[in-house]
Amino acid sequence: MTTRWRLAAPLSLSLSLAYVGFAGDASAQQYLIGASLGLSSGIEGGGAAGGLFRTRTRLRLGADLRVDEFPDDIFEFAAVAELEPKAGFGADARYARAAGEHFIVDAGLIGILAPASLYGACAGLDYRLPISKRTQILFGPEADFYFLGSDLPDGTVIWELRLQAGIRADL
Amino acid sequence: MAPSFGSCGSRQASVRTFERRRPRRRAAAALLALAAVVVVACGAAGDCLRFSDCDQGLTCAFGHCVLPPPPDGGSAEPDDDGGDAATTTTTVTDTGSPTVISPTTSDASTDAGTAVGTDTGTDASSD
Repeated sequence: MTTRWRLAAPLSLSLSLAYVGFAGDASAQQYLIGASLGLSSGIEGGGAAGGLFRTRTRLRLGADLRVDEFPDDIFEFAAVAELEPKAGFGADARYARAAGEHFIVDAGLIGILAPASLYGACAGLDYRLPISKRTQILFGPEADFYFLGSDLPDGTVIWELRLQAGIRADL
Repeated sequence: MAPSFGSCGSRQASVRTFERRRPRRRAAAALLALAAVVVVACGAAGDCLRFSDCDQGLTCAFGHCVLPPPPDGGSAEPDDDGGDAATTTTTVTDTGSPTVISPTTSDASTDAGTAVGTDTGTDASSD
């Protein structure tokens, strides 16, 4: 019995130290969260009628998440609201990657959920112009492609080319 | 033996600065062009890309907002010139009332232009 305790004590101590060390490493990893607000519009096409149209003006309220150990890998989530000439509501999720000091490229999935569904892919480029230590002005193009959904006539793929401007803040 | 570049350092720096400016100008020009197209681009009234582009009661077919097909199985395809579907319906109603169409005015365009007001008056007086 004594021998068992003699073996168990160092073992439990080493396990405890390992746990504390692991927990210490984990707590050093910090999540960095940002929030952004952007307004975008542009041109769209792809329908049977041909030609170009002005896209619906869209408001995007987003959040981005990254880990301080990998600051270039960014995950973005946003709610989007189409404001005019017709209203709509949806969301997008993107993976973004820092490409230089001020540029962010992103790609992901986007969906309009109401009043009818529209799903597709999106990709964009943001230029972040710092205006203070924690806030930046966003500006850049974005391309969206919609190929699924109840709002889409048969055999139609809608493409949109947008310009977005907005503001972002580190929380 | 490694090649010696002498004083190429400053020259490379100047070239790099020049190359960095040109893409920025091109990008700015592209963005301005896109902004100009956005301002100018405007589809014709009644054209659509999505169903929700059309007003209530209309549907998007072949790029135009049209009346939805009847339940018994009609076609929502618009006229050859993409004309207003409501006008088409009115014309059909006019030709369906034989009391309005006189033999001397059998031209379809004349019927469409004049029969609507006359139709209502004739029906009201006959009732």
